[in-house]
Amino acid sequence: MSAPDPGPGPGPGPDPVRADDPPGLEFDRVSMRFGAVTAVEAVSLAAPAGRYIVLLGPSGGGKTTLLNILGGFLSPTEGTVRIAGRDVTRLPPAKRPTATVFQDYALFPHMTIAANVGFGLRMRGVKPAARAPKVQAALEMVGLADAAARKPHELSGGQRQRIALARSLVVEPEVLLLDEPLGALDLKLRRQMQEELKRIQHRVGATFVHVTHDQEEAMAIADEIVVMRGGRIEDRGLPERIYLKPRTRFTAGFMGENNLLDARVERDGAGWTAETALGRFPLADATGAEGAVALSLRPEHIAVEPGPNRLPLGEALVEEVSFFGAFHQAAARHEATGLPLRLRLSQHAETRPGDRLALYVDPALLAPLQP
Amino acid sequence: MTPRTVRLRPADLLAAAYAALLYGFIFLPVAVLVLFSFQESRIPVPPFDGPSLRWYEAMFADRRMMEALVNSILVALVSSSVSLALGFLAAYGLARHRLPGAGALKLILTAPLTVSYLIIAMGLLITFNTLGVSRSLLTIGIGHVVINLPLCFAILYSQMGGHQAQIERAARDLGASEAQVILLVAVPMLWPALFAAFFLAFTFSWDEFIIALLVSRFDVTLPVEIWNMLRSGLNPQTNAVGSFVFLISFLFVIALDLALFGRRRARSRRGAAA
Repeated sequence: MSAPDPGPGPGPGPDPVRADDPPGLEFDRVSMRFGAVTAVEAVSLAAPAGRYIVLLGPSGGGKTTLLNILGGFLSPTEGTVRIAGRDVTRLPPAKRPTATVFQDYALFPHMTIAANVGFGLRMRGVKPAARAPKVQAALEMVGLADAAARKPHELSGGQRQRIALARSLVVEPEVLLLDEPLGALDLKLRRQMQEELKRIQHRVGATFVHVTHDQEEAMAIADEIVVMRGGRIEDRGLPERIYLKPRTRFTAGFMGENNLLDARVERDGAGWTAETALGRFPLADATGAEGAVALSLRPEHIAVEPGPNRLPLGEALVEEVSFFGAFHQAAARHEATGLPLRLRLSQHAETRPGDRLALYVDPALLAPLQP
Repeated sequence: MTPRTVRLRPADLLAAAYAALLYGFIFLPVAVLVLFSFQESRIPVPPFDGPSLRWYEAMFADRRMMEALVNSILVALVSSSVSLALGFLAAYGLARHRLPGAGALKLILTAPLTVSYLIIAMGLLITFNTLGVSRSLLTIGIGHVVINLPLCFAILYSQMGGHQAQIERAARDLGASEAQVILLVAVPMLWPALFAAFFLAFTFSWDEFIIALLVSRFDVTLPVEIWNMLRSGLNPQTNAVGSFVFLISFLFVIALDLALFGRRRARSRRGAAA
């Protein structure tokens, strides 16, 4: 199986990375091998300063390894790491302009919250009198101004997470590394912290590199998503682009609910045509995805009534309907071909299992996938 | 709720009798020792004719005995501190760094735990003789480090988990030097285990006899002095000294228990209240 090698420099495709942006971080053909296992394979990735970058992928994809290489906890087997144009490949964590928010928070259990947050400044030789206002400001930024005198074990998981964030931000890192920081929080708290992380990132202006396997979290906070799989970069770009026009079959399946249709894509005059079991569809752009490929057909792109630019997909028999609050999700089977399809129906839909639905799609919403 | 009635079955009685027998077997000799330390007359055998503190008075007035007591405290304090420091460094090194032959190193470090004190004492005696080191409190202290270092190492190593390693990484990430990581983060996090190891080492050194006997000469520790006394026959003063040694050991075990389990108990109580 041939995964596309993004090569050095900015990734492929139309995502805007302006050359005049100040350099933030750069991986230059970085590889990491543990014995016979290759965790990261010749990854090249450059991002301008001040972005919120999310490394997304399944566990074992190499994203945490990449983060550890950036933080200085691992020394890459090959390649160069630069932060703000400076080669930091061989620098220890203490000497890098990075700070890390660890997955399990790693607060100092024997110190007060104020001592935890002030630790980095203390290590930099900042006097207690000069530390106090900075510690207080950092605690205020994460909304825990009154926790200074308490100990970590007196706080809830969400509060500890904020303290870990404050502790890392108080040293004003150029790059903040977040290793699945919201993984241990419940869903509601997680969504709330996502907004807060984004707000804080805007405020401090540092580059944030955030590792997660939650694609919703990635889309909600990222300026740029880097999808990793098997130690390589599978795809990278704006969240909207990654979701709407995923480049590969893996990305299309990993990012949200999807229907993947086998298709034969051929050049047809100025455009392309995709031949599928559900019909023939014109495609505007299928560069690099010709031949036997797959099409990404999002459940919410399948309409149940005709409309402008919509082509019929045929009829489907609804097998199951679940209510998700904002919408209904339905599992259906295409009548003519027997293909299973996932559909998204409106909040007020009264569709029941056993109903027949006529389906339509605007072919502009179909995305051809590289194998 | 109905009041629970206590109904004694034969099996319960048997269990109680068994427990009484067991504890009696363990503690009767100590109880007899302590009881006859309060004897009035010169021979510590029944009938008991006390209570009297005259043998305790005699013990504290005995210059050689007091010298031995001071020696014992000195040897226990110094040897436990050295064992603790070396044990901590060894455990930290092996828990936090990948070393070639780490498995073998751990095995060698803990091996003395399985060797009898008599063998260790003989080995030390031969070594000191060969090297021309004269027997003194120093040689006793060295002997006690030999037996207590593996203990301190094993206790501390078992307490250095991955979670603490992550916290130490966080300290390094925030700019702490290696010395700062150890002094400000690793040691304070481990302090209950450090306390436990120290008290255990102190107790073991405090009543260790064989090594102290074989590698000492003029300056002796308390157990050796008691043994010297015993050679001239039983008298209630030996009981008084024995009781005193037992009391000190007992206090240290209590302190050890508090250091190890006191915090956990306090925490679980807090957790139950919350």
